[in-house]
Parts: sequence; structure tokens; C-alpha cells
Amino acid sequence: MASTQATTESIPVIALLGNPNAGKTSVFNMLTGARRQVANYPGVTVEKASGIIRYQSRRYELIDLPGTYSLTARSPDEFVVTEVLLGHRDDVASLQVAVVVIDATNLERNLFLATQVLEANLPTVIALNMTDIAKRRGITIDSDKLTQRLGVPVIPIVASTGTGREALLNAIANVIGGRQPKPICQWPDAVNESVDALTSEIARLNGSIGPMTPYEIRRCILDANGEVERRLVTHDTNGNALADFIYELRKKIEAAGHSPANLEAEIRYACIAKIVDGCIHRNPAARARRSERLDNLLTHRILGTMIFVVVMTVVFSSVFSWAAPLMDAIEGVFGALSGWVKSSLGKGLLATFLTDGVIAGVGGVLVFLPQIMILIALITLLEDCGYLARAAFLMDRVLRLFGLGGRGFVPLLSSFACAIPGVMATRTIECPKERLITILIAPLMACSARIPVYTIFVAAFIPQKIVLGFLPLQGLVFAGMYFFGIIAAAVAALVFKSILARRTPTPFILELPSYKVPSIKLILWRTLDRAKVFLQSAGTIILAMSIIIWATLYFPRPASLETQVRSDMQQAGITDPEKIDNAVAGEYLRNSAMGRTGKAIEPVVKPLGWDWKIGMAAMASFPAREVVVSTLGIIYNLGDGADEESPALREKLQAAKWPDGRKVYTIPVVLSIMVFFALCCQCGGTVAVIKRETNSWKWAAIAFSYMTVLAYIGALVVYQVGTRIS
Amino acid sequence: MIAQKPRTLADLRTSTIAKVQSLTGDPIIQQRLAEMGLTSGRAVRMVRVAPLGDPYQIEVLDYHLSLRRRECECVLLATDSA
Repeated sequence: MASTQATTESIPVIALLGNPNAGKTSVFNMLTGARRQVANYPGVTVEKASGIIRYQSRRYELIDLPGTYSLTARSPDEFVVTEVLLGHRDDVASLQVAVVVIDATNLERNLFLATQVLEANLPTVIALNMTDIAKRRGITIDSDKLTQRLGVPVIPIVASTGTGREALLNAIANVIGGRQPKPICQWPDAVNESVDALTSEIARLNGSIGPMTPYEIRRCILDANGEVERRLVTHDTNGNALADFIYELRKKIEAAGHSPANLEAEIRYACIAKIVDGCIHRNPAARARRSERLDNLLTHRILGTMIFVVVMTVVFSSVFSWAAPLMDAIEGVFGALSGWVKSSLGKGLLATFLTDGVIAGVGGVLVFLPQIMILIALITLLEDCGYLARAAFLMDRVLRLFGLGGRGFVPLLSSFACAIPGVMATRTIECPKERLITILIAPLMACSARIPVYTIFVAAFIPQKIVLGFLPLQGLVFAGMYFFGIIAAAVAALVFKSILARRTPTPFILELPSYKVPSIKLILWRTLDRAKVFLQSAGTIILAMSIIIWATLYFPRPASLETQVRSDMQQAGITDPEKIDNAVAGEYLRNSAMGRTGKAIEPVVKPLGWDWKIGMAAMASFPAREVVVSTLGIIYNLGDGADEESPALREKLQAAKWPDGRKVYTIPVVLSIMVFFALCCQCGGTVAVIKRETNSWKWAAIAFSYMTVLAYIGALVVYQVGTRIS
Repeated sequence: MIAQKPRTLADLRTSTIAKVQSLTGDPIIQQRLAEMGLTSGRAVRMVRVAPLGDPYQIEVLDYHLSLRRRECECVLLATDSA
């Protein structure tokens, strides 16, 4: 790591840009050998990915910028692309070359971004990707003629197979230090005059605004409410002077007969039409309608919906069920490891720290990997072949009711298995606000860790009877908890939608790329890449949390406590060593920091109908909600082996009484507990992943707090209303 | 037939082609639509409407794009006779 950083100063830095779906990731992998380093740009969710290119005994750093259709900076995320490109970021060395990946099957639209990049005054190379698919569709592109007309090398490549790698690298090496490309598009006088006027106005008003290129000044004038304007205006110490000035400039452009909003696109697309004229030949006979015929089926009202249901069922069951044996295997291995450590080190502090703290913590991180990897592999597969966009197309109407978009469906569905891969899957959502809302509500979906919690309470307290003639009540309550989570998520989404009102509306733009055979290489790479990212960032946080919680459950631990319990047991005539051990473990737990806190906060949980034991078990379950079952087991002196199927734990719960002899677990209390566990953010992994994916502790804290407050209020209402009804 | 409202992309029947006349509505949405290729004079084809009635699938510049009704209404179409 340190050596890379030390050398980045001296080695040439290249930026990789391109439209979404242009195959940018494949080009990155082709050039760097698929090794990349990931971090985040401070303050935004954009991932900062870079890799090293080795070519002819030289090294180059390649920076992978997020896929974008245009350099119009609408969101802070998009603004990063512009800033890196123009060398305004201190955390990225200034660029020597820009490489723009364009899709040969969609030349004109892709050239829009390319012509923008050509104005950034950087030596540029254009990688004309997917020439193989273009050929199959009867499209031939004269790249030499394009090179001539654009004034920068246009290199035909097929990134998925590595074709054209040498030529592309050679072109990159040749343009370094070369002359800057000349702009393709001519701007009307009204725009040029406005750029000059704003430049001198900025210089006059405030010298503290950093150097701005004519390119940025033009962006500022053309992009109403754009990010460049926002930065300029917020730096303006003269009130609204600059904002008013920009407004006047736009008025002037309008008076000259141009619409500032559409002017750029009109001019660029007119230039592009001239450039591609005679460079692109379409064979109408070969013109592929295959993709459209597939669409007729896959987005068909009935058949398409049925196929959608089947595909989503496969996605869901793969995360839910296929991952289970792998997760069991991981748990088995760590259980065995833990047993081996215990048997060789005894029951001392070190052994307990290693087994219950470290090994359980590492196992608790790794156990998520099967779900994450299976889900990411499937999503990459669906995205690469083009189906994911169709799924979003089909579901958009439904999700829009809650301020979300079609792309939120798969992450939310996956969250029914586990919110961790679900939150990671939100990367396919382009709109930042939609993505954020999806992340915030995903943990409300009834994930598989809630099943043991629901199971133990439903089995112990909901009577086994049939209602309405055929519906088992237990099953009904179980299903009700799932619906409850969905409804809570829908309400939360609507609330966030209104709170997070964006200053600017984001149009729904969803490209429906042509179907293609997915690249296995890309799927494998993305899966391993995401797994690595999870382990590096979220994994360390989860591990730290589980060690902290272990410590609060373990300390303080005076030996006098054990002596006391043993002598009490002896006096009571109990000799079964297991029973005594369990009683000792229970006493230690009740006296631990967590146990004492649990007792101290009993007044807080009493309005929910809970005693301190429930309160403490709920608190101990914040790193992972399913822990509540085994914690209750220890509290009730059953040892740490109790699970949701355990009849002994069921009986203990049914028999639990308040000091005055009333039963602890009445139906309102049971429902209050289940509602609490449905709503509460009791998952360290989810918090860690939200932090990773939003690149801020703020959103992780917001998700955690709103869910916890919601859970408390929900449980309170259920208990208070429940006791009054019954 | 006397059109009450100007004809927009949202009114275009499935499988028919029309030319974009101009864009209207929020400047930000206009700018995005124009960047995606919906500039004046451009031919657009309505491919289909999603099973639930929205969004729409259109073809422009040899590629397929999905837009919601709200965005389609920002795209004014040239009249057939023009």
C-alpha cells in the first residue's frame, strides 16, 4: 500500500471514463489484470478505484471513474468525475491521459460524453469497445476516419476477450505529454461572451475561488442548479450577486434564441452527426431485432411477468436456501475451531476471549460471505445480460408509489434473506436519493435472522389452533410479521421521501441495453471484488463490535460469585455438574456489565411489558438479533446451547413469572417483543455495510436510530393497546 | 380532430415513429432528456408500455430507453404534417 502511494507521484495517471453499459469495467480489467484498490472519495458515495498498468517495462496508474452519460454535474457523485478530470482534487494526482470507453453498438449516444471529455484539455484516447457485437449486428465503424475527424486515436477493442489491448496501450503511451485535443464543437457567440463575462465577474468579486477553466465556467452557465454553480454560489461572499449574475447570463442566452437547458445537446449531437457521417455503415439486413423479440417475451404482460416471478424466486431462494449449507459449514468449522481451543486452553479468560470473542466474531463475519457472493454473482449476471434493467422496467410502477425506483426491487427482495447483501446490491441504483432510501428501509425486511426469534415465541405462546376453518394461527402470526415488516418499510420510505426532498428533481432514465451473453470473467471478478470489499471494511467493524459486546457480557467476573452459586447448589442438593455449570454461567451473565445495565434499564423496558431479562437479552442482541435466543438460554440457566427448537427454553419462557407471581410472557408481551425485533436495527453487519455503502457514519447512525426508536414505539403501542384490549 | 394539448411522446402509439419538436418542463429534466439524444428533429419510436401502464420503452439513436410518463410528457412531438 505504502509503496503504491509513494510511486503514484512519479508514474503517469490515466482516467477511465465511459457511459454505463459501455463495458468500462471489462476495459479496466483488461488493462490492469483485474487488480484494483478500492477506497471512497471523502464526502460522497463514489468508489475510488484504481489499478496499475504494466506496459513495456513502464507503470501507469489507472483510475476508474464512475460510469456516466454526461459530465453535467447534477449530484456530488457526478461532480467527482468532473473534478478528477480537471485535476481539482487533492487526493488524486493530476491526470496525464483520459481514456473514454465507447460502445460501438451505440456510437452517437456514447460520443456525447467523449466530445465533452475532449474539452477538458487532456490528451485523450477513445477505446471503441464491443466491436464484435457491433459486427454481428451489421454495424461497421471506420475507426481511422473517426480518428482523423476527432483528432484523437480511436482504437477498436473487444475488452471481454482482450482483443486490442496492445493497440490501446500503445496509443495511451504515445499520447502522454502530447498536445491537447482540439474541441470539436463550436459554441454560439452568446455562450462564449457569457463565459468571458462570468470569468471576469468571478475575478472581480472574489479572488478566493480557485482557478476555473473556461470549460467549468460554461458548465456553470449551462447547468441550471448544477454542482459547479452551487460551489461557486456557496463560496460567494457577496450574497446573491453571483447567482443573480449567472441568472442574467442565462436570460441573455435565451434572448439570443437558445434554450440553455438543451443548447449543449443540440450542438453536440449536430457535431456528432457530422462526425459519424460516412464513418458508420449499417447493414440493414443484419440489423438485429433479436433483442427486441426477446423483449416482446420478457416484458410481456403475462409471460414476462411469469418469467420475472420465476427469476426473482431463483434469486431469492439462492440467497435464502442455497447459501444455507455453506453458512452451516462455516459455522461448523468455527464451532469446531472454538471447541478445539477450549479443549486445549481450558476455560480461562484467554480461551473465552479467543472462542467467544475472536473466533465467534470472525465466524460471524465470514458467515455472510455465501449470501453476499451468491447475490452479487446473480445480480452481475442479470445486469450483464441486460435483464436487470427489464426487471426494473417491470417493477418501477409499484416501487414508485414509495418514492423508490424499479432498480430497488432486487436489493429489497434480497433483504428478506439478509439486509447485508441487500444493501450492497443497491449499487445498481443510479439515483442517489433512491439508493439512500432503499438502503435505509432494506433492514426492515424480515431477514432470515428474525426467523429463530419469531419461531421461539410463536411456538411457545401462540396457540396451535385453526382459525376461519383452515388457517393455522401460528402460521398466520408468522406471515403477519413478514407483512408487518413490509408495511413498516413502505411507511418509512414515504417518510424519507418527503424528508429527503432533493433540491432538484431527478428524472427516471433507464437504459435498456441490448441483451448479450454475460461474461463469466466479469461475474467472477465482481463477486470476488465485492467479497473483498466487505471483508476489508465491514468485516473489521463487525469483528470489533462482537469483541466489545463479548467483553460487556463477560466482565466483571469475581470468582466469589461462582463459589456462592456452587455452595447454594450444594445446599439445595443439586449435583448434576451441567446444571451447576449452567447456573454459574447464568449468574455471571446476570452480573456482567450488560446484565447490570439490563437491570438498571428495567424502568425503560417496563412500559413495553418486559422484565429486565428480556431487556438485557434484547440489548445483547444488538450485534446480531438471533443471539437473543441463546442469551435467553443462558439467562434462564440452560447454558449456551439453547436454540429456537429447544423445548427446555420454551418451558422456561412459559413458566417465567414476575416477583408477584404474574406470568411474564402474556400475549401482548410476546407480540411486543416480536414487533421490537421486527423493527429494530439489531445487526452490526447491517450498520457496518450501510457505513461502507453510504461512505458516512451519519447514515449508519440515522438508520440505527430511526429503527431503534421505531421499534421501541411499536413495541410500546402493541403492549399498551394489547393489555387494554385483552 | 382538433388537438387540445400539444402532442407529446406520452401520446405516441406503440410501434409508431415521430420526430421530436422541442422539450418542455423542468430545465433539469429537459437537459437530461436532450443528453440522452432527444434533441429536436430526432426520430423516436414508441416500443411498448410496461405491463403496469408505466414506464414507457422508446427507441432513439438506435438504442432503447425507458422513461416515465412524466418525462415523456416533456417531449413535444412534431405534427405529422409538418
